[in-house]
Amino acid sequence: MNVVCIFPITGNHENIAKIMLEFKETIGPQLKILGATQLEIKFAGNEYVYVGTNQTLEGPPKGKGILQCIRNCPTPPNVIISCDGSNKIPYSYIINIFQEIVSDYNLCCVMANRKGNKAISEFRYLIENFEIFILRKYYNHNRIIPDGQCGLWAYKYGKLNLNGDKKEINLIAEGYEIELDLLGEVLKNNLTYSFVDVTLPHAPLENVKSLFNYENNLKKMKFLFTRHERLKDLIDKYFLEFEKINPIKPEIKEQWENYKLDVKKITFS
Amino acid sequence: MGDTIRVEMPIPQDSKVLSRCATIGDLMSEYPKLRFVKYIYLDPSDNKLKGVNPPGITPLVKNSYITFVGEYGEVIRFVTDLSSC
Repeated sequence: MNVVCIFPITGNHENIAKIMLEFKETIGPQLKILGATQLEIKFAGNEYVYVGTNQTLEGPPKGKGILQCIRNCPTPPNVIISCDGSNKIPYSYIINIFQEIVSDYNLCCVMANRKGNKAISEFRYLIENFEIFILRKYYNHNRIIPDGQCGLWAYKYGKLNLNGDKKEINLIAEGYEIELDLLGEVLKNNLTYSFVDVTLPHAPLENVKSLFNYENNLKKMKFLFTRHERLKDLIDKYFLEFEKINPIKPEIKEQWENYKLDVKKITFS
Repeated sequence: MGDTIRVEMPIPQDSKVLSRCATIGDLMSEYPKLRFVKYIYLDPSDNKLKGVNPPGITPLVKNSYITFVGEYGEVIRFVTDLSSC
């Protein structure tokens, strides 16, 4: 089984050596025991130019970097694993994710579920919940989705033969919306998925290095509107339904109201 | 898999390797056990992006991207060297 591990490391290139060391000592040998006959590591992002298509020296955004890594595989992989290289998620959970995805032939995707500490602000977590909520509603999905935007996930690459039904996960997101793109593909194609609980080490949010900003929330929503064409028409209804079951805390109420206004203002050029 | 791993990674613009090695050839001399597969870089002579496969003695420049294969121990030594500033 050909397994490709991608580590988006934009702004975190100092972690590369640590990741490699851990890969050698624990992750690689365990993946081998679990059936990975061919392993490849790709570090996506950072300040480099990946393919000679333009002249910019800025690193690609997260999703684009991951997709470039996937396209650049010399042999088609069977399983793709992506884990943020920011040190927020313990890398050893890669083993758990891989163990889960190879445990059942029908499983197409496994995502990490951040238990307790999500390593993001309360407001950002609320928005993440809302984004998952609208995907569930849009695809009439009744199961609870506990997370879906953690930076650790895996999926089976290429055409999947599911009881004679050929399906494929096709990711196109270029930014932080890559995880939502994966979740959307899973729900749209009605694919089997599962979650693996992960516990993130506690770290004060101000110490967590992230390039994510408020505008990225709107980019994510714009992507969802583009990817799921009737979604924009339903967004008012979904806001109301979401607020009924998720009372907004007073301390983030103003931010939430501003977010709603900004989402409604999203246009397509 | 054996003990061999294929790695693709950027060369950070402040990598200490840049001040020590002028070309990929210099790196090859330092790491003879590694197989250098591919190198993508901005050629300072004409300011154009180029991809070299295999790299040979092309100039080593910042903001480039390199692919290599080797045994874990040697790969980790190289990665540590490349990513340290």
